[in-house]
Amino acid sequence: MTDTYVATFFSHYDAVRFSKNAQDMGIRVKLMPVPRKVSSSCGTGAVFETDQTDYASFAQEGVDKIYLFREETYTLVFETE
Amino acid sequence: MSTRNQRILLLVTGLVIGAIAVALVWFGNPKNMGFCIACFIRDIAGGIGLHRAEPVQYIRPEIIGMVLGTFLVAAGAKEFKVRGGSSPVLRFVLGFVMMVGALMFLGCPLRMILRLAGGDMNALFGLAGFVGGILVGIFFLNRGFTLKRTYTMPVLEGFALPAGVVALLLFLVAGASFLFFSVEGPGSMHAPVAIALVAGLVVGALAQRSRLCMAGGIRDVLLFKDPTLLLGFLGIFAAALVGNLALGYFNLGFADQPVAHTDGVWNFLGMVVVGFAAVLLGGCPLRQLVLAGEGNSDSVLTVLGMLVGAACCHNFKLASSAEGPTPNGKIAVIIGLVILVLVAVLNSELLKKKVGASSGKGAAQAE
Repeated sequence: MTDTYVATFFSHYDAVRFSKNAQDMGIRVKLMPVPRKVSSSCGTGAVFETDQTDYASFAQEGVDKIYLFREETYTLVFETE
Repeated sequence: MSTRNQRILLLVTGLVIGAIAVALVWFGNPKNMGFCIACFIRDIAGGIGLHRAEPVQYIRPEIIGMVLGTFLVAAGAKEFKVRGGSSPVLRFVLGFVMMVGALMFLGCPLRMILRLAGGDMNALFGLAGFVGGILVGIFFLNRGFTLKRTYTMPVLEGFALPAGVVALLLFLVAGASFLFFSVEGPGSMHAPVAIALVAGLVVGALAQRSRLCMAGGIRDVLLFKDPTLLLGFLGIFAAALVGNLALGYFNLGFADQPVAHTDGVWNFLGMVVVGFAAVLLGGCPLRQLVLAGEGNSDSVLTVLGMLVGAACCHNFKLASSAEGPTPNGKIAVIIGLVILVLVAVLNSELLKKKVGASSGKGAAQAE
C-alpha cells in the first residue's frame, strides 16, 4: 500500500539531496515548507509517496525525522539520533 | 495537509503585530518604530553600557517580553527544545553582520514594513535590497550552503536567555543605577514598561505559534511558491497602515521621515546584507529572537552577535543617523557583504565540486 510521508531535514540542502535521491529511486517527492503541525521550525520539508516501510534504508544522512501522514494526522516513524 | 489554518493564524498574527506596533507609538515609542528588533536590541546594548551613544540607551521591555512570551508558549506546547551546535561562532558573526546592515538602513525587516506603512518611501529601497539579499541567499542554499546540523543540548542551556532577560527586567523595574537611559532621542521615547512588556509577550507568543518570519515569507514564495509566511508580512503592513492613517502618523514621502535617512543606495545595500544574512541564518532578526526563546542556543548566539554588533556599530560610528550613512558604516557594509559571500561560498558545495571532482560522492558525504 502506498502511503504519504513527510520528512524534515537538518538543512535545506539535505532536503534537496533527499529529493534527488528519492526521484532516482522512483519515489514521487515534492519539497515544501515544513508543516507547522510537525515542527515549530520553518525549514524545508519533503512530502513523498512510497510503499516501502524500511525507513532507515532511504533515510539518508541529513534527514531529521520522517512522519507517516494519514487522515490529517502525522505519526513519527523515523528519527535520526 | 491543510494550510488554511496556518494562513489564517499568520494573517491574524500580522494584523495584531501591526496594530500593536502603532499602539506602542501612541503610548510613547518613536514613530514608525513601535516595534523593531534591531533598534530595540541596539537600545538594550546602550542600556547596559556596551555603547555610549546617549540618544539610544534603554532596556526595551518589548524584547524581554518577546523572549518570555516565546519561552512560555513553546514550553506549554511542548516545543521548548534545547538544541544547538550548528556553527555557533559563525552564527554570532552573521548576527553581527546582520546588525551592521540593519543599522545602515535603520531598522530590521519588521521596522522596514512599519516604515512603509507609515509612508516612508525610503523603505522601498530597503525592501528591494531585502528581496535582493534573499535571492542571493537562495542562490547559495541551492548550491549546498549549510551551517550543519543541530544537536540536543543540556536543558539548562535553553534557560540561560530567559533567565538573563528576567534579570534585565528586574534591573529595569528596580531602576538600577548602573543602567543607562537616554534623556533625549529615540531611546528616551518609550511606552510604559508594563504595556511594552505585555506587547512583547503577545508578539512573542503569536510569532512562536505562527512561525512568523519576514525573510521566510519572501524565501518561501521564491523557493516553493508558498505565500503562507508572507501573509504575516502583509497583515503587519495592512494593520499598521490603517492605524497610522487613523492616528495621523502617516506621512507619505522621502524627506523628514522619523529615524530614517534618504540615501537610497545605502538603504538598499544595508537591507541586502540583512536579507542575505537572514537566509544563511534561517530567519530574520525577529525569528532569531523567537527561536532563541524556544531553546535554540544557536539563535541565542545570533542574538548575542546582534547585541555586540549593535554596540560596535555605535562605538565605531558605523550606524546611520537621520543625516545619512557614515563613511565607516559604508566600509562596514562592504566588509559585511564580503564576509557573507565568504561564509556562503566556503560552506556550500561550490568549491567542493571543483576540488573533489574525482571523488564527488565522497565530497558530498563529507558533511
